Amino acid sequence: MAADPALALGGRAAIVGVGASRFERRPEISVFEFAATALNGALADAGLEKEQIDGLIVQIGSPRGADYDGIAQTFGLSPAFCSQTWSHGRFAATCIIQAAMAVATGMATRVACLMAMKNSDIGRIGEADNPFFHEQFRENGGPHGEEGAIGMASPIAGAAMGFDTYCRRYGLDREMLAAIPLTFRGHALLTDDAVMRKPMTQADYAASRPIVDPLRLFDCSPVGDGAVCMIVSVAEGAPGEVRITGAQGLRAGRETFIFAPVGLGIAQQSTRRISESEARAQPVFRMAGASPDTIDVLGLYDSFSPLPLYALEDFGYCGAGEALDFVQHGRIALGGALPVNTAGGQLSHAQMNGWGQIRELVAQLRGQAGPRQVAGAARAMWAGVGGDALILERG
Amino acid sequence: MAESHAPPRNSLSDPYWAGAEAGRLVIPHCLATGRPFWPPSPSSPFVTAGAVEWRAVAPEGEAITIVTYRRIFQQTLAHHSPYAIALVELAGQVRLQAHVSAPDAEGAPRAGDRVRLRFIPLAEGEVPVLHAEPAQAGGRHG
Repeated sequence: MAADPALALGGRAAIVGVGASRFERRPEISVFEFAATALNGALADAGLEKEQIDGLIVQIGSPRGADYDGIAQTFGLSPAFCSQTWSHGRFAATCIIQAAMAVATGMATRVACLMAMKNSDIGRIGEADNPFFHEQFRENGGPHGEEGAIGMASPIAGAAMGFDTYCRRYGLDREMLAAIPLTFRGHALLTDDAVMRKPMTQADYAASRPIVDPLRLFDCSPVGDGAVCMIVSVAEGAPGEVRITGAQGLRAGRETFIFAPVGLGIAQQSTRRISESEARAQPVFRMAGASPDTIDVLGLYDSFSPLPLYALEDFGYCGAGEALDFVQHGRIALGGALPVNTAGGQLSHAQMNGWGQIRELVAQLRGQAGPRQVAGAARAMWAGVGGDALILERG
Repeated sequence: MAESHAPPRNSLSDPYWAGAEAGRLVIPHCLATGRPFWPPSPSSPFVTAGAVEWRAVAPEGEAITIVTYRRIFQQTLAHHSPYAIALVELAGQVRLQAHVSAPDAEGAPRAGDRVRLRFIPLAEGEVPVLHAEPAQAGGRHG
């Protein structure tokens, strides 16, 4: 399949430097310490001085992270193109895409994309001492379906609703979900900076504490601390650069819900799913001239363990209702046909809102993934349940 | 500030809460298409700048899914634990969330069941909120 020339961004920008902090919970450490490690690491990786950064795009920000203005001031950056998304996940790819658009159009030449956050000192999500408590009282519902007035609190409940609806629609056994946390934990055992490195068995998973039925503690990513920085520049074919050949933004609307595939959401008034052929014809594939069959390694958003299922279906890796079967028998494990979240994902590596997975894809494409290296990895994809996606290729 | 689970109430949501206080389920409808919808909007989500009218609807539907809280997040609701939340599909495919009391009890609604929706306060003196009950139940809460 040839790349669609109307989708002009493909291949024009590249990730040229990556850096990251450690990821364990460290409430006594400043979030700027995490940011410094990530930013300085990315600059060193790219062979750049900080004065060469003229764009800055930030995800998360206050009240749980560093904002763009504080970052520029603290580190002595002077970007002339700044942007920042909200303080939840889901915008990792969108930040990279904005940077790619900025360098492709001459708005900037080298953009630092940075996510630095600390959750260990702001209470537990869903509880009153956490700054996101008020979101369950957001007008017309919280960002994950919350409705505090009836007790619908915390993001996990929306994820539980999405998964129960999915299992009922297709008559699936909820216990098959174990394949996802177990596979990603297996990957984390090979990852030096993974937060969750204790081996997990099927029995451990089945016995883990119920939180909101049908989801359990081990279906949840451990909210933590840390920072990841990626520097985006015009693709020049330099050694080590990873070209952004396909990109697609986040979708929204009445037929979507962030914790369900299109067609199974909370507020929508239809049950129509994206067909497999529609899924495979989306812009991210057309821009790169690629299909799911030509992806060597995949990163999927997994703040809760069911979410990768929906991205697999909505991006055409399998048909509607087939993903729970698709992920069994090692298919998504290292050594399988389609390795997914090879560093352990948000469930076991670190809950960095997808930035950890994109960093890992860059490492895979550079051949720097050590014991996790997918042999010959040349083309990687990031896909979120919200419809955001990137295709990355070796420079 | 003391923890609260009081819903936000303003010009957009007031017809709903006024209905709740009167024990009636009232939701917005698109005048051009006649379709009900949720959440409320000042203009129809189905046609550009379409007019909206609030109308009473039958308080019944199918519980598509019911999720049960095994962990307490809201201290003001701790004494209700365990409780559940049902996603209920009404006529017109409108989906509303509703509180389910005592979800482990015999006779509690299950996913796939027809349910009746009723407005009941979670504590005395509070605004009544939507509860899902078995379709055949009656008068359990007086």
